[in-house]
Amino acid sequence: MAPVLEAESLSKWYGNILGVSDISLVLMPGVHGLLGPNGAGKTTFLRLASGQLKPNRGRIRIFGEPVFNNPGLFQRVGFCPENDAYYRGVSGGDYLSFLARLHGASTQKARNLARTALHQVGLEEVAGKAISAYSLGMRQRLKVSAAILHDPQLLILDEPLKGVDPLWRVRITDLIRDFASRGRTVIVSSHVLPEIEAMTNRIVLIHQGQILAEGDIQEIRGLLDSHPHMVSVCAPHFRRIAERFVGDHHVLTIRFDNVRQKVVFNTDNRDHFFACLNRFVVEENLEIEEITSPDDNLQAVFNYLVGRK
Amino acid sequence: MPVKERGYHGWEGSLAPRRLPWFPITLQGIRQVKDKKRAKLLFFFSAFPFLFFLIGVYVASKPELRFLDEITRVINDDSQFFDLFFTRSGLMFVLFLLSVYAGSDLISADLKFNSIQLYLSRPLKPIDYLAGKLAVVMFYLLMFSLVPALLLVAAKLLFSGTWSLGFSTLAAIFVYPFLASLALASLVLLFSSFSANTRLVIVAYVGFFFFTNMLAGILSGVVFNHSALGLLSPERTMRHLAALLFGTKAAMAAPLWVAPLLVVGVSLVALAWTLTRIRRVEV
Amino acid sequence: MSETIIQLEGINFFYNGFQAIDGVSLSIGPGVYGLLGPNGAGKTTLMKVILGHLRPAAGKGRILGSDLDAGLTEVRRCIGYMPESHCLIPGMDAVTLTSYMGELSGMPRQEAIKRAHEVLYYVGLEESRYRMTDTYSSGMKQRLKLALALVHDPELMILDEPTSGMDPGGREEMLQLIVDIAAKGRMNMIISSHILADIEKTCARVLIMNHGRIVSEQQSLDFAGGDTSIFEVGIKGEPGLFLEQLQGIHAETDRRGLLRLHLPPDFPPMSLFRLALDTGVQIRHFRPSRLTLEDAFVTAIGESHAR
Repeated sequence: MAPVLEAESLSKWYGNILGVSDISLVLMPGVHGLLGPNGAGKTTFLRLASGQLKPNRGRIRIFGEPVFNNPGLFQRVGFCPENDAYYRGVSGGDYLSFLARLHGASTQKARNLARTALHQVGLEEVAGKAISAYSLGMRQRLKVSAAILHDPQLLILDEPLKGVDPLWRVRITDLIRDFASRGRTVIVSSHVLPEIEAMTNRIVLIHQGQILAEGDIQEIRGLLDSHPHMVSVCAPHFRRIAERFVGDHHVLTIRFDNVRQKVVFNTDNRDHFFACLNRFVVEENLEIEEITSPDDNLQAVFNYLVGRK
Repeated sequence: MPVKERGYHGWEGSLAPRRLPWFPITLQGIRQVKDKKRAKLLFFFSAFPFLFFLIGVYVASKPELRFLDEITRVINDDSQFFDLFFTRSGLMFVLFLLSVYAGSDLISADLKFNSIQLYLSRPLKPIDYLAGKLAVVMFYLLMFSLVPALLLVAAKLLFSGTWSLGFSTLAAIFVYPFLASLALASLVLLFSSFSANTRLVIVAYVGFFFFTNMLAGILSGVVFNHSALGLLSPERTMRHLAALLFGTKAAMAAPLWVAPLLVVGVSLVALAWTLTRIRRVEV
Repeated sequence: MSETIIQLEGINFFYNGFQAIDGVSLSIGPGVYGLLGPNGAGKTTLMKVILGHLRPAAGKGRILGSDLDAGLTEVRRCIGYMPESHCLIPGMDAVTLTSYMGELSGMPRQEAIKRAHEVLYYVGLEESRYRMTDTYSSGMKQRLKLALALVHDPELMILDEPTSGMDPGGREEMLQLIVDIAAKGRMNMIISSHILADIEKTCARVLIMNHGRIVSEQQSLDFAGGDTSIFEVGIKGEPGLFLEQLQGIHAETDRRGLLRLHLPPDFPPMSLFRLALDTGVQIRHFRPSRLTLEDAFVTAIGESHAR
């Protein structure tokens, strides 16, 4: 399968301000979550990927074609910027029809495309209203619909869920997953890690203009050897379970929570630990209420890599 | 010794209502104006009318320097002296500049940076906010009108050694600067509440004075030839007011009582209008 | 101190004829409440009524023991409000601004300055406290707004979208601060947010609004008591054989790749572990399925639309 996006030692500076530095990246179809602290270079990267900026060094190609100064490519790319830029008096429907005409659709077809796109984000009822009367969440949804209007192969979304209410967060998340399930590609940035987790398990983590990690969250977590895995076991006989592991040299720390009848292990070998735990539970016929891994999530990966605490 | 653990700690005091809930706004505003760029320079020039008149008082008290009889006569006539100080010494222009300097951004910057809601989420009413801001401008205006006037009173006493001031003149020395400051302060705050763009506020405010002065000049002198139309000009109205308070000769053929009515009326309308503008801000 | 923090009865509010709040009655006790709802549900309007900025067209209520009709200016002394929009006073450093706000709430000046340093340190702005607030980044402004809401140690805090504009690190710290304030300061809070994960981390109880009405009151975010026969199970290894052995049991895979098993009443959950051992897989995640806040939210909003 051909890669959708390829970047080769891509760099961009603004004077002496660093945007991205020496990024090499190959993205295949699917949903990719782009994350990083403020000022990490996410938006610069997305602007490079959508041809709004020319790299100082390196190359970026989408579908094998160069991005900058290649308007034909944008028939196949949809972009949703972070900030609003609308003609205030125009209605949502007219705005989308206009964009569709720019993509080369006939007047009638443009109207149909606009209607479909608005329907997908639930704005068909307010299609005739001026955009200036929209709430923040509605404007945000309109941006998403503008990006999917021409049914692109690659969708680039910069903070698409900012200001969107929980109901539409769920629906747009589904929309994105659904979009990618048809063999297409989505690159989506967000500051809300549970949101990224709901959309995808593939992430690109940018920090200080560089890529810190790229790939499957679980795999990345597995590679972080220096950070032992946390396993929390909640059971009526939680101290007995703990006793079993006191002598185990793969268990680094054991912590108790008397109130919640819980014991939390830190282990440097999950395979070994879970094998022992499963066997012990079966042999001793123990009752278990919960087994969870509190640091087996994106927030933990993010904290470990970006280095807060 | 008790241990202070990490984490959130409450505050042990009790929050007491203030008699003047807006007073911190005034203090803070006064501090901020003082720290503005070129504040010292402006204050220095604002003291010029006072210094000039102070020299006059000194000169008048020295018999050997009495070569200008005409001037000495005026200086020794208290009501005429203070009328001159307030209305012909350039003090009006100084107060006008000070009102622009201290007042033009007081509300407009708050509009720009969304800070009115910071105030209103505290135990303050819109009118408290306005009172606090008004007091900032009033402070600076009185500082350069009432205070120097009182210093001149003291200087006269000091140099001549006799108390010549009549009660009505003394009252006028308090009332006139107060009314003048009130009018200027409420007008500048009204203009300040019109726009979040302070430059626009300054242009509109200066333009207002320029335009009304010009209009008054044209209407009273050229078109209708009726001096009472000079009341359109804030400057001439203030002189009219001074004429009433100090009992000096009025320049306009309008009844004297119109002046205080106009000054107080305009101030109240401006304040009420500003208050509705503040109330309308989305908190 | 009164046991009910907020008591509202039949509150109505109209914006130019549009009914933003439609007969809201609620009673909020001590603790941390989440306020959720779609855009335009009336959350912000309700907060403004509680702050006394908007006068309801009808209805009665008491906030921190003061009557709604009597005006709430004095009540705001004991409320810390963190608005959604960025607001600051230009030309002031953080210490000046924070102590100024403390003074306006009725703290003596010296005390306010001392306390300003404390709260700025607490929210993590100790190094930038002498910097002009207009030069702050959006994450720092968010922390500053929290400091302003805290400076007078209020009885009730109202936080509107406290994590908006913050990056993942900052967001987590903000949520930890909120949890800490609620626990150590025994603070009563109302937190509005569009991010359900934030609410789940910080709030004990949730109010859901739609079309100006309270459509659901979740007295507890611990939904464990829901359906005890559904279990979430995470498997490491080849699940084929394991699933084969589970024939007759309804199993589905969720977004996170976890199995949701609908166990029949005669199936002891613990036998899953034996099954795993026999089929050579590890159970790495195991817990009774809970309703998430998202489920509760979608249900509540769905029901309110059906009505």
